Amino acid sequence: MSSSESTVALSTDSNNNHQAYLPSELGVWMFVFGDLLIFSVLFASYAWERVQQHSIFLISQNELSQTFGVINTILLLTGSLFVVLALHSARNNKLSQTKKLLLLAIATGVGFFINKVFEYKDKVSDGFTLLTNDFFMFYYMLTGIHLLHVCVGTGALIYLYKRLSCQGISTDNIKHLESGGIIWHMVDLLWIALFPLLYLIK
Amino acid sequence: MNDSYLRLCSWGGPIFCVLFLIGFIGFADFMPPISPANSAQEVADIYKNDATSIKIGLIFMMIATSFTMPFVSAIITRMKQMQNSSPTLVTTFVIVSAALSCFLFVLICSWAVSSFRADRAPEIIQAFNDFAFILLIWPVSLIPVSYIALGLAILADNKQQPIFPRWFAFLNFWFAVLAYGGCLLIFFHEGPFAWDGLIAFWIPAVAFFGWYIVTSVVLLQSKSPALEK
Repeated sequence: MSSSESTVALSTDSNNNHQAYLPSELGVWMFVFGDLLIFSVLFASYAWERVQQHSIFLISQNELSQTFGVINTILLLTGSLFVVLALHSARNNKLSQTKKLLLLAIATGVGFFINKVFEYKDKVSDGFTLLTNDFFMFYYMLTGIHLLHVCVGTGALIYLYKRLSCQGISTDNIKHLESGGIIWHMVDLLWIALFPLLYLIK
Repeated sequence: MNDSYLRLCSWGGPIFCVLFLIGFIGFADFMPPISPANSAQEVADIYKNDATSIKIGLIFMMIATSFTMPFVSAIITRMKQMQNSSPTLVTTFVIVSAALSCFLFVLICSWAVSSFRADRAPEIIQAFNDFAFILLIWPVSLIPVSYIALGLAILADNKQQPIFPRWFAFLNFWFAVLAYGGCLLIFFHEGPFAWDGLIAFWIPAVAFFGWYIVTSVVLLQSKSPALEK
């Protein structure tokens, strides 16, 4: 979503420049695709093990709480929306609105984290740990790695918030906001793949 | 400023990779690694049967490790030349790199202890073998710190002609992510997160050696600020 928006934004401020506009910078995109590559490998090895131990995976999957999963999905998707809106207000030079939206996005990240901690506690108290079986190994590892991404993404948003508070809106900061948005969308995208793989697929 | 020693040291990375891998794969036959699921007797048998080739491999690895130090020095020189370079980031990089070289020596020593008296109690051989493989992968929690320090230093370099290209910073961040895969290896004796698994060993291994190659290329292409006109 953000990339198409950015294209629109740029066509207005660089009419004489026909070069395609790349939101953020090349390195960020390299990082994102590299990260997606690694998650693809993780998903593939999960799928491979699932085929090998289908019944164990199905039984274990039923122990997961879809409520927690759905709440987290909604939190992340809303967070993505807030980041997009924040970028939009930054482009329109509305500082206080940008900061408010960023705070909301940060809140969704923190909410995701808290929700996940409760979910883990729930699972552990039911006796399901990393070592229960291969399904729970993947469950903890995949969601754990993803949670780390959420933490990094939230940290990036907090950094952006502080930067905006100190320096106000500038071309440089919009560029940074785009990078933050891309990272946040990636975290979102990964969850959209993770959620059905772990919680829904039958 | 004279760059010729820096260029020479920049070759340390690829030389380290080639020598280490000749020892690790060619002689010691540690690729794939000795499985953590093996019994003590199975591990002891490996050391007993391949004693000579493992020892030759270890010598290659030990000598290879010495090349990491001049290589890292070349990177540190460039980090210091970056505009806006933070001494804190440079020091972080120095400490982690130094620690890493020590770890490499210690873990190779531990394999050496396993192979030195291969006829002793299998449990002792297994313990030293475990120690070596865990030390080979577990410092992955440490390596990313140096990658991140280097990456942040590159991003802070806001000169017209930066010392290292900006994409290299993000590549470092990516390598950092890849390296974390081995963090939980002590829980597992098999599977993708065990020390011979896809996520804990194969991916971090590619990232680890890949980093030396890419960094070497970037180093060789970099120029001292004083030489720029």
